[in-house]
Amino acid sequence: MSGLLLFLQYAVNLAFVILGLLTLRDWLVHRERSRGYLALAIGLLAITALIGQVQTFFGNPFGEAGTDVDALVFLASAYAMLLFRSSFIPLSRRGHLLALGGLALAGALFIGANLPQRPEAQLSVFQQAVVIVFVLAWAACVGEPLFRFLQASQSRPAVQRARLRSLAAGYLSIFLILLVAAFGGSLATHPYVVLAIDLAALASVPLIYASFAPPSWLRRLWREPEESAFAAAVKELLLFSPTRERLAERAVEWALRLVGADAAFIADADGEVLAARGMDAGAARRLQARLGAFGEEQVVPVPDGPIQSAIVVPLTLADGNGALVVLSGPFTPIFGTDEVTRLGQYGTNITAGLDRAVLTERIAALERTKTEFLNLASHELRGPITVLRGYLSMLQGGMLGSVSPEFGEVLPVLTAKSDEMNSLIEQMIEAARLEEGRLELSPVRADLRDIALRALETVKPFATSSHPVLFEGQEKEIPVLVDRRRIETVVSNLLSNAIKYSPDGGEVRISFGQDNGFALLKVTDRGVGIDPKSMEKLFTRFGRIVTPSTRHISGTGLGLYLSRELARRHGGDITAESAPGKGSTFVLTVPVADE
Amino acid sequence: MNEFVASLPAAEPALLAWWAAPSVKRKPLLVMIEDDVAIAEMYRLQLRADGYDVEMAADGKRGLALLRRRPADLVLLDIRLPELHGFQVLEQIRADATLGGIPVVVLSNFGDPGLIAQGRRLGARAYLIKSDTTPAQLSAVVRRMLGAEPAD
Repeated sequence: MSGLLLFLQYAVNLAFVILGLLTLRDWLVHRERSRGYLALAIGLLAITALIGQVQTFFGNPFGEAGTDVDALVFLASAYAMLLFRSSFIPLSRRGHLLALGGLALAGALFIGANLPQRPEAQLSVFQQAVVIVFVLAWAACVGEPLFRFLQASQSRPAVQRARLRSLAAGYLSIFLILLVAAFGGSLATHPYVVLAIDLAALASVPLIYASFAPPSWLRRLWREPEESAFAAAVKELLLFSPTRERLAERAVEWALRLVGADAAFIADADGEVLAARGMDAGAARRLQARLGAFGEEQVVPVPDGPIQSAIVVPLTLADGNGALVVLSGPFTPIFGTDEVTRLGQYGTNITAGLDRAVLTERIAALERTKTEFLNLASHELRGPITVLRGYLSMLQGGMLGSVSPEFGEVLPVLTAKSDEMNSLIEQMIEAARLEEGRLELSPVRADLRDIALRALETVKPFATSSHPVLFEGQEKEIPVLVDRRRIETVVSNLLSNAIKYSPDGGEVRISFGQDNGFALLKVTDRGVGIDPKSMEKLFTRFGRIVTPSTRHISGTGLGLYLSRELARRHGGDITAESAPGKGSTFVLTVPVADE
Repeated sequence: MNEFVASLPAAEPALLAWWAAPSVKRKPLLVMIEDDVAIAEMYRLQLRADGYDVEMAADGKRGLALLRRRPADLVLLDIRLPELHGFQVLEQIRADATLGGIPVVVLSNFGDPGLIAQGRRLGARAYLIKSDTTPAQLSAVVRRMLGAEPAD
């Protein structure tokens, strides 16, 4: 047993020395004030362990002096802990003086009390008081920061919370060891108690180590509960953010949560602040100007003000470099490589999101411009067509005198073509209305056969002997609830398409049917038909299917798009079936009117 | 006549009133306020042939001035006009003590439901889309409308 205890004691001391060296290395790598204080606190603890070990090994070569130095170093480690705390949560001058005074008193008393070397020795009342003061001074200087850290950890992101708790747990076990050693009396020398103390001391080493340099697997483990929420936030950032400003606001909020910072902002490529949290936009702009540009994400010291440091993540936007800047506040724990890497990755997402928002905005603007153009152009076209149609109608009505027989023959064609042009313009206006959301239907009860007959009238000029239109009318009325004029346009569009795309002639058939509360109108032709591969394009806006057999046929590509949209606005639809070379059938469904 | 929305008086009484007018001392006067000369000339050709006196103005201000000089029996009013917008002209006609009762027919190539509703609110008797209205159709509308007015 005693061999094991001796071995354990060596192991504990060695572990503390290694821990001290590791914190020292951590500080040398990162060169940050807060890390320096932590390295000092733990390093001094390690020195305490080392001196204790040397004393044991070499049989008290320094005697009393060795123990005194050990005690002073131990007290100094407590003050280093306080300094570490002060680098996050600034401690007042009075607090510093109070702590120094307490520690100095404890040190002086310790030296003056001449405590016995052997733990089982009886202590005088004065010596007992000295031990109490000593333990209290150390515990106050170490306990207060840990308490503050635990308190602050509540609202921190998962990793910071776990780090702070790990640090607190490590120190707590040291604190308990100290208590037992100081006040345990004879209990403290009991082999099992010694064993427990040594094991606790050994356990505190990885806990403290994990607090300042948690391995990546541990950080992942800690982060896990927050990961899904973060992933959802990133997805939302990339997919659903309506404007750049909103996107930037959300991104800033998550950046704060990610590292537990106090303030953050995103600067655009032109230096303008897109969003800021924890500070006003003006302050953000000034800070951004002072920080300047960085090639890659890194921690940058911010010399003045209460802010200690900032992580600057460059955002390589399409229009130039912007930046995500996250500022540590008094409650922010360590900004480490973990945070920098994480924010760097997050920065990539923000960049993608912001650029996507720009694209979306540009596309929307383009779409608006196009619709505006469609609207304006179509209205402009109505002027000339008014005059053309007007004079043509006057010519046909004989208002402008008699015309030559030859001209009389072409006059109907001119009239039909100008009418067609007029309806094409009407289609463009309807399309613009549809896209601007200004299209309103005025549904009334009507007979679908009636509507079809009227539509047939409008395509009469084209329904020549080579294109007979068969009207398979029903005896019974087909009551539908529709915007008459619009459905009439839809039907005449289907009919004129059927005629247009049957260049070699062939009959066009109109038939009716009913299906589950909907009335059906079918237009069947024996024309060129539609390739199955082109079916998808058929109803898209400006989606014209051009094949060698249809190249000569003119059209805007709006007709079917508009027809289907109109049918859908009614709660109905248009579907198509076709066999290339054999013909097509278009089916219009509209809701049946209630009796 | 696609966008012919504003309510028109029934045809038969209108025609009766027209024929029943005691004595036609002068041709009914129409004022057409229209900046597109080709359109204006075309409609005038038909309307004159149908027995109306047609005076024309190419912008809103001149149109109002013309009306104050020669109060018309009916106004044909374009909407997109230089100087004074058609709806402003309409408002001023309505607000005028002597001109307020003159029926106004809006002739426009802008046929959005919002515009049509606004035209109706401001008291237009009809709202016609030019490209859908042949001269003969316009003439028919004018005939019906003047017939419905008390004979003067």
